[in-house]
Amino acid sequence: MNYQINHIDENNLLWSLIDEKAIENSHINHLKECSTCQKKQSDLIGELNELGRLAHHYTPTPRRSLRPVATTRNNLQFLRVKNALVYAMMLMICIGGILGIWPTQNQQTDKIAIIEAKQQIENMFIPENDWNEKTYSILPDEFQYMVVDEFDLLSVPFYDYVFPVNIPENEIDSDIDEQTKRVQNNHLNKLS
Amino acid sequence: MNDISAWVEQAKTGNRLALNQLIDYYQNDIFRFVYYRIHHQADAEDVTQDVFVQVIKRIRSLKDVTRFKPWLYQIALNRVRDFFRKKRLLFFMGTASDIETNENSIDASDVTEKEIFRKEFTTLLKKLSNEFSKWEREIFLLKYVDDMDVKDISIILGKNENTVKTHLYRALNKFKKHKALREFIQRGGHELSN
Repeated sequence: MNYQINHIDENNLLWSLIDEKAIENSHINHLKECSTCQKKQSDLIGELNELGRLAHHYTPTPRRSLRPVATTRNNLQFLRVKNALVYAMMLMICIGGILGIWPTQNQQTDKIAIIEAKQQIENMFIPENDWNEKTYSILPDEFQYMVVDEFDLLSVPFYDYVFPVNIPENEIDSDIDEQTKRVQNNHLNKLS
Repeated sequence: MNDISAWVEQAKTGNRLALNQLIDYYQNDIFRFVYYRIHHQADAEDVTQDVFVQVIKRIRSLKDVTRFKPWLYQIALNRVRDFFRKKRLLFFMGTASDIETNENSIDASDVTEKEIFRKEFTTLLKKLSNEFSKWEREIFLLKYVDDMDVKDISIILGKNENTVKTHLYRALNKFKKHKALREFIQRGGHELSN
């Protein structure tokens, strides 16, 4: 009766499967002698072994070889060279783009030289202020007073000819030079 | 084991033949390890192949050739974790396929007794695994499905041996209470013996 009461409990039975050192010596001795406890232990061990056996049995067979496919070193080298070429081309395109957007100092100097050359060519064929001087210098001396620094259509006698000014009757017989001067003065007064 | 250590030594020097012998020797074990965590054959094949790619790349860094097996399982465990990380990411992005549905849908023309038992066994094992904590599941599977001893498990998981034993004790307690799986194991034994 006392022998049955001291049967090994569930916890110690489980520990006996994992590590016998974890249970007391009295339990180990009991396990060696008690067939009931031995059966319990062996049944549990049997179930766990069976679990492993079933797991092996029900593992499907791989449909293909699990050995990794070998790749030759040459192919890898080729890929590396190919990648390096692509990177180099991208770098060149970037550098080209940057240079195209921002002109170099030489390019800026060239532009200035072209502008200066154009200016020189223009100066050769169209001399500065020459046109005004020649136009008015052909007038007789008595009309040289009419020459002004800047050409102004309104200030030339031609305008007065096209749009005649009303002259009072008492001045009709006056000297033509005086009359002209007077008209000129009146006109200048109006303009001012 | 001496043969394996010799193969590992040779593989470390770049011997392709020794490396292939190692892969052939362990490929079924690693495939089983991956399969009972992923529960999908095609993905398990891909992950197993990836494990051996990593082995080929890193075998020179292995210092102790006698620890090749735990080192190999460590790589396998990391690959499985990576797989689930990717799966979670794909699920978050809404592009993941339903793995369980694909695997459990057995083709009517291919229904054999073994297939039915396999499906039942896998389902029961998954139910038991769901009752375990992360470490309990990993340790229980390593111990009883992958036939590893506590020392190797502690190396693989980077945990103290006593910690491993405690988790194993808890897992065994849960296994003992899982009547459905225990009954199937007893029936399955008859099926296999027949």
